[in-house]
Amino acid sequence: MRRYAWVIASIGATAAAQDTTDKSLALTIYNSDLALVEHVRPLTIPAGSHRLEFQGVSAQIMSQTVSFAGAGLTVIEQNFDYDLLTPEKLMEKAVGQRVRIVRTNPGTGRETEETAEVLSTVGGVVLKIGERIEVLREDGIPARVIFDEVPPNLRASPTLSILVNAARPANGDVTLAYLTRGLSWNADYVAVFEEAAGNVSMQGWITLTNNSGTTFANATAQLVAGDINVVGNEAEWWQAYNFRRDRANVLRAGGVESSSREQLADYYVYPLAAATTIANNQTKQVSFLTAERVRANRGYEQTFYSFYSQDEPVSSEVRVRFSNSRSSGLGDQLPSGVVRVYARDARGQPQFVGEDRIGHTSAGSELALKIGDAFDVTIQPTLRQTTRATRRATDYAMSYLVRNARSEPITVTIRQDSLWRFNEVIAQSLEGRRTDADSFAWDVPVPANGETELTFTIRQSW
Amino acid sequence: VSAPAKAWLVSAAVFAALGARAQDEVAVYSARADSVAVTIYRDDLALVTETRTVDLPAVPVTLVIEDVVETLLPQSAVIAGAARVLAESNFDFDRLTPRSLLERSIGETVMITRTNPATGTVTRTAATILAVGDGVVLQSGAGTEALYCSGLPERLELMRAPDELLAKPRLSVQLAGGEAGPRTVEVSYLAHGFAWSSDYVAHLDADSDALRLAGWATLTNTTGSVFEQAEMQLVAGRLNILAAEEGGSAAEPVVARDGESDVEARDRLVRERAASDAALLRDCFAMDIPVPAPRAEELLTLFAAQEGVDGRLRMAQAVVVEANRLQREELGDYQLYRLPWRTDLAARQTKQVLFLDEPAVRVERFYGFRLASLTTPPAADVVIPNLIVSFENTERDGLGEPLPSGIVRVFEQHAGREVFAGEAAIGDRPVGLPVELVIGRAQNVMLEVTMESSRGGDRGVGVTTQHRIVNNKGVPIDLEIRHGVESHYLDLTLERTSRPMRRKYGDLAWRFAVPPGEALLEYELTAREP
Repeated sequence: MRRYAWVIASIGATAAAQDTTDKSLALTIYNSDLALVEHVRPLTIPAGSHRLEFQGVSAQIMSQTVSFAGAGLTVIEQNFDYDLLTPEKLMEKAVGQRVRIVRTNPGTGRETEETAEVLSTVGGVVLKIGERIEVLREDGIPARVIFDEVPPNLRASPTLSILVNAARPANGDVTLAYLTRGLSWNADYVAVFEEAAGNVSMQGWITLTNNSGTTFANATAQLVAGDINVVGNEAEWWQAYNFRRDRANVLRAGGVESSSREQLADYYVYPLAAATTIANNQTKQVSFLTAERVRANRGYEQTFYSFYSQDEPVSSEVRVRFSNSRSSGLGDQLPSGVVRVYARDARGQPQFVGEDRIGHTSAGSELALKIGDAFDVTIQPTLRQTTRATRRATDYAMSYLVRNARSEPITVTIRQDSLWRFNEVIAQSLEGRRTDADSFAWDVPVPANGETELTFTIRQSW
Repeated sequence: VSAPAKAWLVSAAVFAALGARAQDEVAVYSARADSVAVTIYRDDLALVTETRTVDLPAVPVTLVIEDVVETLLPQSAVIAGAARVLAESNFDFDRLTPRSLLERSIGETVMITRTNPATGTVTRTAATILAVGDGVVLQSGAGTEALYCSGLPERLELMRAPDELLAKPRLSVQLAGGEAGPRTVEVSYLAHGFAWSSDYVAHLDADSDALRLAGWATLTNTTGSVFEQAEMQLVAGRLNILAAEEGGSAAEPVVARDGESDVEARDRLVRERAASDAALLRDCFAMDIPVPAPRAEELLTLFAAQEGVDGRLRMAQAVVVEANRLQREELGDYQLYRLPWRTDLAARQTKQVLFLDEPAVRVERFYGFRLASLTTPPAADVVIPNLIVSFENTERDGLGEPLPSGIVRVFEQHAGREVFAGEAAIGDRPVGLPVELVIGRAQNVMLEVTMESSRGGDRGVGVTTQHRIVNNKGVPIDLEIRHGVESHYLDLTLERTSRPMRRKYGDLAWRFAVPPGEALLEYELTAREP
């Protein structure tokens, strides 16, 4: 583990490092690739101006969000140094400086050393050796370039430097806070679906990812759930719109139960119980929810958005339905995340059967996760006839042949969606129901290893 | 890994796990699984279930599960049988690369070995790594230098293994305290780099109209992990799997080039990434002469002896055909095929297993032609119908087995020889759903289609269609003609027809026998435009 230190340099004086550790390190991580980092450290400095160098801050720090606070200290200037130490930067900063060139004679192997002045580094390194002007290694002869020192502004890790003025000698705690990208979290759920028992057991994990370039050691962390508005994301509105549509498909009824979780404004906060170390490039998971035997069932449904015939039948969607209400056994709000569903095979081994994403879901909501398409349940749509009823009304006679190759009877919900503004069912083989201003649904019972044909005629007009 | 190096890594890991905070926390290591089961899905995904025996003390414990598959999706992990509350789980894996080694060695003392190209004299100089980014900067007694920029053969030697560099990926979970004793823990997780596909071989008997249908499952392990005596399962059906950017389990798609298999494409990607990574390490200040780009393999051999990295990059593709036949069972709404006994699945191995073999499926052979529009005639004056093989997927007709999606290749006996008759793709087909395979085009069967349209009152359209069929095969054939009508036409009516019509998939359809010679079909349709 690397240590990060305050390097304190009084103006005009040589730098003196004070190897102090954080008194506390606090992280507030949002689930939109954003985190607030707050360090509290003791600092002892005499009166006057000082440059405080804070090494090893996140490489993705949003430097315009840095705030520094300490009793009696005034910030004069702050810089975030992105100039990382590379061979190219080293040479660029050496323009006008002297370097040593060590050449190896390819014939004799003899080494010779000369001092050169770097004139330019654009497109090739131009050197002045004595009165000669040369381009480095133009002759292809091996030549080492030795620099006497590393320029002070080139660093091995990103560094934040703050120029402060202390009115009097300071001896107390200072706080450095900033927003950074590269730290984020999301919720992941593992749901084991016990079909026979009619329940699902859920474990919620908070998955923390740290791609900030920095390891945060011994930090207290809290996670905030909720969509924080971040300026500059408007271009993604269409994506977001589609996403919400999909999400609405999973959420069947919004919940009204309140949760005992800690709240921050309109967001939920999940504090992590103990201080934790989040290493760079690490994926860390913290359990935040366990619910055993939540009532659940499996259902088949398929939505059709227009009237058409198809040679190839459609496999019906399979959904696992449950509620996060108190009465069903869950009773907690669920932050947005992916639910991975497992079911048991004939030997009782858990097998993965599909996944779906849920949005931030308040407690008491009804959910229907689409886990996949049923192999053995297919629906063949056939448009039987279109008839002109009046000048502005058309009748569509549809048939849906539902086949069930399973050895048990099932019910498949067929929904006809996105109808014209005026619509009515004028004939049906089975009693359906209106689900929306522009949709109807039928629950079609299908016997084991059998088929049922649903037929109906919808009149629509404008 | 050599034994002392491994011991060193383990003790470093213990130290890291203990950390500065919880000195009282105990770590328990599980080096390998007792047994493993692999379920392969269609979508570059597998569920790996490992059974491990661990001895847990009564205190809270960090269970370190070593040597898991490197493509593991940590958020999918399920740990059962520990009889403890799970608090936290960490997945740590820094792929062992020259870069990760150097990055972890910043501030450490290393040896630079230079060889004088003329005399062959080797000089070793101690130096400290200052920075590893686009290029490497070192500090030695002489001053500050850039590595790989002098044109001299240069090599770095690390004096000690860097902290926490994990040669093998591991999952560590924090368990609450509980009853002490040995436990059998089951660790399940999803991992990428696995695939399976199904292919069918159909032998058509010309005389009896019977088909011998064999189904082969081809499964591939493109990861570097070896599974010994594993239980193997395959799942057929379409699972809902979300894209990685949505937080789902789908793997990033790999685009294979021409003539490249998916395995090869994946290998190429790994090599390209390693090469660009290695090239970045050699970044230098501008020089007038071109620096030869290093080959990834060249750089990696440096470390290969230590960890066998090049072994993972090598392309070794062996196809193994299993003698066993898969057994099928239902898994929720999918089909699960189980290999009846345990098998070894090596790294980068492809295996083929039979999952279906039905000796006599009753088939029908017919010729088919479809018009896709009410009023538009076919583009050509003379059209050739398709050759279609169809069968009912029922036990009565010799099949009655679910057919996972794949390509069916049909072979036929011709003059005492097997000839390839054509191929067709099928989607997932449950039992009871009829199957029609368009395997090719007819020979010596032709159709001439003439259409005549007329206008009626009140936006009416009338179309008379005539099909003249020529059968030069010398034997009677079965022909199906379909006429599809766009759904915007209203009040479609068949006014008259020369042969009986029935509906098929929403189309109007005629099926009849055509004797050698000529036959005619004529009908009139009327409809209204909206």
